[in-house]
Amino acid sequence: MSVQNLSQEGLYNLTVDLQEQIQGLETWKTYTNDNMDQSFLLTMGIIIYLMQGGFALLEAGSVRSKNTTNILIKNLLDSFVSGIFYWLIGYAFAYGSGNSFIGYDNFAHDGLKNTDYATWFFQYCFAATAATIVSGAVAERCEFVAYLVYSSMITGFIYPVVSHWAWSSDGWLGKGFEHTSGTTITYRDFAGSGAVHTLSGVAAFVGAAVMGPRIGRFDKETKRPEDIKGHSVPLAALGGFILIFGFLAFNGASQGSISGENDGAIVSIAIKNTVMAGSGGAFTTMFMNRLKLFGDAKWSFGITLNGCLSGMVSICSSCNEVETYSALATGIIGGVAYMIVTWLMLNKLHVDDPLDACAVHFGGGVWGVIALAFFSNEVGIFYHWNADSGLQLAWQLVGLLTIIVWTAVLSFIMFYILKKFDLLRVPFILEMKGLDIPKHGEPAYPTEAYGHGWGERGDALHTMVKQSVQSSSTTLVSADLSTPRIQRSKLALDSHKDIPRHKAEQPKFYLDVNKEHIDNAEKNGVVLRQDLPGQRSNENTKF
Amino acid sequence: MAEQISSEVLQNLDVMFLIVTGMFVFFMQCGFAFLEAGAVRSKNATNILIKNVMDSFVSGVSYWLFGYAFAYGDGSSANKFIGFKHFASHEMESETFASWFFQYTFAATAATIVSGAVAERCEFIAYFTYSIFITGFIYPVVTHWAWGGGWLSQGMDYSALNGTVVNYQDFAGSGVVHVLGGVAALVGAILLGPRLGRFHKESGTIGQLRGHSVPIAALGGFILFFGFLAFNGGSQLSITNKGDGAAVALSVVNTIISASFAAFGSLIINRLNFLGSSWSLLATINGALTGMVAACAGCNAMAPWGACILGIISSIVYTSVSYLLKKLRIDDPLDAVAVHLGGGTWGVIAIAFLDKEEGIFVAGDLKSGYKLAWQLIGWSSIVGWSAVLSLIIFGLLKLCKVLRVPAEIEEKGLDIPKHKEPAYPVEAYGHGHIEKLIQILENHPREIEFSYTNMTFNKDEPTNAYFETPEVKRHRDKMMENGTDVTTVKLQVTDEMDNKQTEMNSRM
Repeated sequence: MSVQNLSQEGLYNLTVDLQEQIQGLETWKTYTNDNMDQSFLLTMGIIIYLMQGGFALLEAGSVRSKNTTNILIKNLLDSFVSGIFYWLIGYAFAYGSGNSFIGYDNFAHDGLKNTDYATWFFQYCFAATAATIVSGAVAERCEFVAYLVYSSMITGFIYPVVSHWAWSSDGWLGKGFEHTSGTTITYRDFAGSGAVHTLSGVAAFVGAAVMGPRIGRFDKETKRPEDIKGHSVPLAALGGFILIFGFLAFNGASQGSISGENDGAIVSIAIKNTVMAGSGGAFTTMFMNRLKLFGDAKWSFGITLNGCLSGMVSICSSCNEVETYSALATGIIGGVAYMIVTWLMLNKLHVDDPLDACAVHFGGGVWGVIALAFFSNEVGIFYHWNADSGLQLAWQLVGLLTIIVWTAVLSFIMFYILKKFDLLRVPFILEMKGLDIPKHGEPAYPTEAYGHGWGERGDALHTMVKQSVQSSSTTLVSADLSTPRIQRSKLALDSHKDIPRHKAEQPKFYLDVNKEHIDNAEKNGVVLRQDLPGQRSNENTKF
Repeated sequence: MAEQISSEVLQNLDVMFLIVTGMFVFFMQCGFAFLEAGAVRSKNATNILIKNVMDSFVSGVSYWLFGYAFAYGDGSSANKFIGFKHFASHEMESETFASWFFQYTFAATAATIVSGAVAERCEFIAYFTYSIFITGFIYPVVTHWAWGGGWLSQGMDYSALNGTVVNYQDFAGSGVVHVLGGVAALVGAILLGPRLGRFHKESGTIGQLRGHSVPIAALGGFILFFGFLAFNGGSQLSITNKGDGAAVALSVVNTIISASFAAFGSLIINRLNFLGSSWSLLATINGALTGMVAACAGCNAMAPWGACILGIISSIVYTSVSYLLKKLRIDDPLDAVAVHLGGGTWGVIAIAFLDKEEGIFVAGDLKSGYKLAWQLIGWSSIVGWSAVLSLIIFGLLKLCKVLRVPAEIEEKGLDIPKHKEPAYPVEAYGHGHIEKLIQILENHPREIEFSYTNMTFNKDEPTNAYFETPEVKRHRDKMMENGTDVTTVKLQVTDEMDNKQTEMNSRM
């Protein structure tokens, strides 16, 4: 039937019919798009949620075994503290309607639309990430109550306000200003180099600085940093891998939708750039550390991992709008930024950050916010040499500075008050003996849970050695006791009255196998073994 | 025409949603494995890991062969009680494979809950038998009742309500998965009896058999939380109907809010000196899991404030059930019963109160009363069914004496005799001086002189079994023959290479 043959009435009916069909298709399209966007946000959000586990294991592997449970429970609660506070107030401050400084609507999901729950969940995962970064920098010495206070403050107020500025439709940074030429300059921060990572990097730095270094981290007189090694590289590595996995979703899904035109392409660009920047950062730090000039001339795993993470942090802000080679360059410089911040903190500022959280997130984050102004395809100085791109750089710097100042001031007030009330740092004796047993009653590796009854190669000697080590808290690798390093440690040991020492008459344990081992021992200076699990109360030994 | 094209696209989208969330749920197997591995002693770590690895594959076989047919086979012989089609995915349409996979991951979850409660003492054969039965029969029949068009999902229409149908409501399986798994776990734990050294009969004290690694348990916890969000969200089963996205989002949000409040609740209960007095990590993990389990039943039908109440009460349920089990002298190494049976029960009941439209707290009418009744009927029939069947299985296994490992093996650990793979072989550790000694001992036994003075051996009380390397055993036996009576061990090792002597003084 062709249109020409239709009567006027028939034509009218056909039009009505078509209109109905189009309308039906439109509704179908709307809700299908909604469904797609929400399921995208939810799946990606769930993957980002796993980053909590990544942070937890990275930090657990990087602290000593005596504080493992403590750092794990902090990371576990991070996601639940944010669950409560981001629900009650955080989301309202960040994305509720309000003024250009802060939102105030939708407290505790009041009046939140059905279709916004997915967004809430996604943003919640970001807030939890922002809070969890701090726990690395204050690890091994932070009071539990202090931890509860700062993480609820960060997820409930400090972070939401910044995300309101940068990402909500009302925020002053995101709205930007209109240049005389008619173009609007806005603060660009796709996945939060500034809003998430710089913020938590600053909070981490303030926390670590106010709290002071761990006992034994810096030499009292020379201020030379002494290595305090974490207790398990595989745990830290597992955490690192989970973080890298999560980071891809973190950056990719910041597009926020998948049903719009080009959404898929942008998500792919973001993920591709994240991989490139991570690779760049990892390689840079690995080789820099291998050179004697910058590092300790070793192929270090921990530093490579941190370099990879800081590369990924630095590409957060611009991962949707740069070329692949620019992403690589951003990552490489992100790695350099990490090395510089670490060096500054250790050798100049003498701030102890067990996880290098500040170097990774502050170093990488700051560079990421600035890098966008140079590398961006749309507004970058390298591609568009004009007033607009200059102003973009200026506005990025304005955003960066306000975020740094806002966070630094608020977290300084918070940590300082906690310090004044003596709630910030655990007592000396707990720090020496470890937090797991007195605070949590759950040693990470209870001695009595180990071993089995089937004689095995090496069991006998191992146990004898373990027992004899337990009976005295010091293990001296004997031979020439006059080497300066051993002398120093011995002095330190003798002068510390708080180190748990068993009675002097108990036998010290001497090992003296051959020249090679003595040399090794001297080189490593492994003299003081304070981490070996002591004899626990004999509540279980009766049965 | 547009609808035809779109229906294919929509089907693909639904399938993709099921597969992706199903894969997340599958990862929960890993979460359970690590949670349990960290919570047992190192001598049984391999044993619990292999059970969790096999769980997913045992259910792969038995859910493929029978399970799915009993649960969702709606053939001619299907009725309100059981389905009867698609055995071994026979005559299944290709687009339903996604739903098979998703349901399979749920079945595997139901089976894996049990392994925690029977950990450290269950025979491997017994484990195989019960997990085949749970995934092949017990669980599928209940899913048929509640989700596959069975009598619980059909419900009943009431004349008092003008013919409105009231049925059993269980969105993601608080009852179907968790109560069922929890009941089977409880029956298994009771019939197996407590681990050696857990309860001391005469003095009535409770031995705390700590797990060997908190970080490994915490890793498992994190993976479980990750998987649970998909477990509850994915239960919507489709993403293309109007409002699906919002429903999935609401489920995920309610899950996380309930977990948050439950975690805090159990943290604080533990700190307040009712049961402990520390900021306990493992209690917090279990509390959060209980909150998530309780959210399963109604996470799509509750407002977030409901999830908040749900979570707070979940923490109380968890701690009290856990306390009760200890009082009853039932040994559940993982608190699986408290988390899954406790949380599941509370979730099934709570939805009758907290439903945002029909709940007793909101509507408060006759219908909400019937709703509560149906929730209770559903709960008690699930409990009855799984209790009776698992009693039969575990009872038969016990009668055949294949339920529990012999006492000697339990005491010395299952890893080496059963699997020959110690989780942490001593010789694989270290990089220093102690290991060098061990190496010398192993490689040059003749160059080593043992000199024993003052060592006590009592024939009735065997010496610490650690000291059982061949060399030590030989010397010990020799001294036993001679009847030497001594108190300390002095071990001297001579290394010819350097002509130096190593002296180790050890007090036994």
